[in-house]
Amino acid sequence: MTAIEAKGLSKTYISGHFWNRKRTTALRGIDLKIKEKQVFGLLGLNGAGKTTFIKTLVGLVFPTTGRVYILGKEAGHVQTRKSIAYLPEMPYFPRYLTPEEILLFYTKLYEIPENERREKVFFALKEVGLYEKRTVQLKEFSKGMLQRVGIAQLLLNDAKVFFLDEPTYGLDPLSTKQMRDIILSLKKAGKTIFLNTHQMGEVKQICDRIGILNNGQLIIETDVKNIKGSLESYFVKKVQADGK
Amino acid sequence: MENKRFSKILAVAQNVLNECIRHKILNILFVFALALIGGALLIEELSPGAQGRTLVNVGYANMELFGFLTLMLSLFIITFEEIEMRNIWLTLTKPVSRSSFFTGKFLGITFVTLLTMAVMFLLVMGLSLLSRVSLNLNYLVIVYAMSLGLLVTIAFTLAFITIATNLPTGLMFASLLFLIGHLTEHLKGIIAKPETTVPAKLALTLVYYAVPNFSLFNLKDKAYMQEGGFDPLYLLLITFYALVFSFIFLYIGIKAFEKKEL
Repeated sequence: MTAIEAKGLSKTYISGHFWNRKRTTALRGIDLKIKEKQVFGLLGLNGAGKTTFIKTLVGLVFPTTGRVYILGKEAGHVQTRKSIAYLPEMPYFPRYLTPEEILLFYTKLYEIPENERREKVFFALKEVGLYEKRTVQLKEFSKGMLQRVGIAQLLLNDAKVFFLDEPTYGLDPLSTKQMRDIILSLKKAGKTIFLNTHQMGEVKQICDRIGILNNGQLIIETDVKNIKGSLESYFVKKVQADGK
Repeated sequence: MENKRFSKILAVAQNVLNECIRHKILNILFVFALALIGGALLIEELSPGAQGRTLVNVGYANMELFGFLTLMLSLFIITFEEIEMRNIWLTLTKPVSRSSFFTGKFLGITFVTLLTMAVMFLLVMGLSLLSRVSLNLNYLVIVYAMSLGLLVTIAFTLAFITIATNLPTGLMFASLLFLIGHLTEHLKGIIAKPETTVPAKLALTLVYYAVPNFSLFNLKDKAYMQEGGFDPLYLLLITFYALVFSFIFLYIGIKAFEKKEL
């Protein structure tokens, strides 16, 4: 079954005032199918449209044209969001709340029964090594610790599809390894993962398939095993060949 | 289904309340408001013979001002953190509809404002008792009417900051509407003047009905003239008026938020 599907997806942002409208096209006619239990890595230069793509998949921005489906349902629909988990590039949380409070809040939104909420939250916090800091306000947290709270919230709802935007951003080497281990355990558990990253090593180690986004267009989509040699040189070659 | 929706709305509201009551800036504002209300005792000393009226008047003026400032600042802080700090991304990718999120935020800010108003009111009443002012139900009714005005203000401020392209513009327009809303009563006089032209009369009548009339919620000045309390029918009418305006602005805000890209 297809887990993620984009059909003719385009996105144009309109900014400025009505007398000075500016149009920026971030995505251009993307067609993509990602099978269930597959780990897909999306690569691209800065500003290629990777974050817009992931935000469209999770329903934060709306397609200008085309459609997006997650597990056969329209992306962004409340029912669809029950089965997904999303980690933005640099997750932010209400500063005056504690990790325990914010995660409990998310369990309420996920409709997790009241008697299971605390248990789920504690499990997630233990997984990312923040259980001891669960009652410290988030304003006291470093970037890396906030990223770990972001990872903890991925583990609350037993999601089927994970959207991870630069999941190792701002993490120290140990936390990076922990993050990779979590992604690998999700992969082992048969989850579908959509990964946006600049880390070629991460892609080679984790992903089954990759796509390269350049100037809003998906210029290549292939199995990782088809790539001979280093992924980095493959990426550079493809982007340069595209010439945009 | 509706039960789940309501519990999500409450969860968002509780989150907003928790965040606001711990926020340093809001705490400073709150302490400042209480200090100013307490300071009214000194003004009372300077106006002998006023029989507590100064204390109550200063108290109410502060409640109205700080009620407004609290809601504006709470909305600014919460919306700034949601949009500029992007913490809304994580919430809105969870299974909560945008309308539930928006309604929850409205309720949360309403709780924060009412809580602030309640504490300030208790302080005013406590000081009034200390100054041997004879209290009656009218004092509570004044605060009730004031809170209705703030409810409408929260609804339209939320709508404006959702529609506006940026937060300061939204807050500026909301403050402008708040100001115009306090002056609409004067429009009646201008409309009634014979020298006002017909197009001007039409335009002013439109503004009179489209903008919430905040003078309806101002019962302070009438308090000392009401021997037997306020007319219950009038209170019912202003409650209905506030609810209608709040629903209209909430509806506009929700529709705008459902289309907003984050």
